[in-house]
Amino acid sequence: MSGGPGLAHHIRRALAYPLPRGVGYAQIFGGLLLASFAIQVVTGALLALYYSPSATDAWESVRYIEEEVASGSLIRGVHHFGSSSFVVLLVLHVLRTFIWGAYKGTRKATWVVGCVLFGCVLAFGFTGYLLPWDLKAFFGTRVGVGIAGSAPVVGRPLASLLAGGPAVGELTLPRFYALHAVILPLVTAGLIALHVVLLRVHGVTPHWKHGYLASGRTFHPHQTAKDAAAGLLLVLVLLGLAHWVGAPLEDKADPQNTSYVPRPEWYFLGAQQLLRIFQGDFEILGSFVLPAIGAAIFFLLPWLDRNPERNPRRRPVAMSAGAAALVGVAGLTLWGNAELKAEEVAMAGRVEAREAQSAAAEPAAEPEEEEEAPDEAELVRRGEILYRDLACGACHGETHLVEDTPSLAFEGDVVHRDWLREYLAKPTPIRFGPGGRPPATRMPDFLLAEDELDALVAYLVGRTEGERFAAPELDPATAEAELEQGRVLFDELDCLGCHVLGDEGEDFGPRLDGVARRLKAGYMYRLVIDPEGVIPGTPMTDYYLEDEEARAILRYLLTLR
Amino acid sequence: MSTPSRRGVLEASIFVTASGFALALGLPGARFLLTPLLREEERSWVDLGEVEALRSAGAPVAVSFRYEAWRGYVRGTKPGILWVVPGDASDETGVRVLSAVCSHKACNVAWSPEEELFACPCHRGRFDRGGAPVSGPPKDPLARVAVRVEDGHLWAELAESMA
Repeated sequence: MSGGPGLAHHIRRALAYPLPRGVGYAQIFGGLLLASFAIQVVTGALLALYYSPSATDAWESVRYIEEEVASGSLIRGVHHFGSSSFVVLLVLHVLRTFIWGAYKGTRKATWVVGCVLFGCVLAFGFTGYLLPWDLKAFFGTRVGVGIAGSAPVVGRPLASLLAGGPAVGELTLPRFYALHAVILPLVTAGLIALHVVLLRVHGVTPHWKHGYLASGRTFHPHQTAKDAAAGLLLVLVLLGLAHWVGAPLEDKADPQNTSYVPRPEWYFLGAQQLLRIFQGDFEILGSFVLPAIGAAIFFLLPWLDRNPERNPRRRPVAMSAGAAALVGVAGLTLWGNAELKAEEVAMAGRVEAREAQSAAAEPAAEPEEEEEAPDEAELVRRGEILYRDLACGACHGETHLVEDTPSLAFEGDVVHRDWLREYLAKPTPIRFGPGGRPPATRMPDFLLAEDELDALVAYLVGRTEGERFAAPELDPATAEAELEQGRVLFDELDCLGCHVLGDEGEDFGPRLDGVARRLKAGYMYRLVIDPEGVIPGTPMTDYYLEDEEARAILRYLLTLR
Repeated sequence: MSTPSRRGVLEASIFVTASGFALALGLPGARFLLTPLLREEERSWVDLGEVEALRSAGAPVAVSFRYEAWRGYVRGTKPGILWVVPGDASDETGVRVLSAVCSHKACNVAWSPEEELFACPCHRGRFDRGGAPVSGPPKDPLARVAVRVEDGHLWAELAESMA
């Protein structure tokens, strides 16, 4: 090698500062937290490659990560358990700092920066919670945003800013993602750098017994070797948890669910219990005042505890207050967990009672079911599960109508049941690519069984059947004349310039063979009158047809069976 | 007044240009950030089914439905749920329609037949048939939804925060 010492030499030198005596395994938590942050950054960046922060796709994309992506459940598992271990290590790090009195004297700033970092970690946990968009995510975030909303004065606007509107919904997800994956990592990385610089400036806090007596050892390699060994152990534990336990993914978020008992992350159970304890007018004590006082004491500890002594034996007030706080938080957490379990049991009873009641009073309890066959509701329910299991929403998401994957949002008003059942049983392309070839993306044949076809049709059509597109009343007296006019218009407007019928036409738009068996009259009628209004972004030309012209074309289309 | 030094003038000019820099990005940035505060809450009328059947039910009924709505750039049919409480003399429709969203921290409440109360599973809030808070943390009643009857069907005016 030429040209003097390399980068590795400079890094080694920078880290080889002398350690005081009595520094060892008790001091590994800082290094482990750094390792935890690295683990979360790496696994988080990997997850972001597949994750889609939109209410329609988020859950499906997480499921895709879990089930399809190679090592997907492992990476997501490490990220999931990594957040919990982050909190555990953080608490141990704070305890160590507290017992060593390492927040005193010149190290006040290090403590305060550490407190802000603690807040960042909790904010990471809270924002990351929503991202899978499952039941737990949805209701947990509603509660979290509600808590922010209970802050005096700024509460309501703060809740609106967090949720992106008056309630947690579609617009909440992108902003939580931005916070979780962009803003918080940047802020946290900066604060970690500051924390480490402050540590380097003031040095590792020596043991109270030995003071600054030199140990003859240096941070690198003596402490770094311990940190590295502990870091490896941490990764192995996280991999083990990810492999054998796995990160949970519940059913997709559903605001209709009234039998779900939301369970917060374990480190928020104590905070949840505070919300249960304080009732009515005292509610704000649990949701805001007590947590705010706790946080203030935590931040201001170096100024509240003016005792210069660092030996725990000679700090009876601080040590007993710290122990009381620890016992208090642990007790609240355990209490909260017990109450949550009781609530889960109570809810199971309520669901049972409700089911018994609706079984006893079938027609009255479910007014929507009256006109339909008794098992229609059950079919719809099973259809919805199929829709979810087959991930139909991955292509037919409900938010937009795409050219080659139609939205199913108003499928009941668009297609005939019989046609849909046949189509689902054996999908044949309706749209063709250039040169009459099948399109690049096409509906797969899911090889559905008879009862599955019934369920899916019930869900797709029965659920959305309405009067969105009213069919015009066609007068039989004028049938012949209208049909002839329709035929002429069909030619004049050059419909076959884009559509295929038999052997004629261009394959730009969907085939019109048997279109009357496929599409409902009202839908076709609205579509020719106002294509853009029915399918936003459609390439179909708007001819600004008069009502009678549209009727005439409809007459003609209805003959294409 | 003393003549300002060259250094002082330069520093002042840096302050002015830096302020311009911050304001030029900051003002549109702040408006961008505060958009949710400017957006009106969306409201839509939803069909809850035949009013006669709902009136004659004994206990409150959870009615699930789908409705079409815009949320910012997102348009689609959304799932929703409301509680319909029969036997309400105060309303000419004979029913009272309540949001299922708890007034405390927005979990969904469920009717508890043994208590004859609406129960929230998150923090043990309880509400009576009329939606008034009975015990637990909630201070405010469950949001009452405006209703009308048309062609024998019960319609409810749903706001974003209600379902």
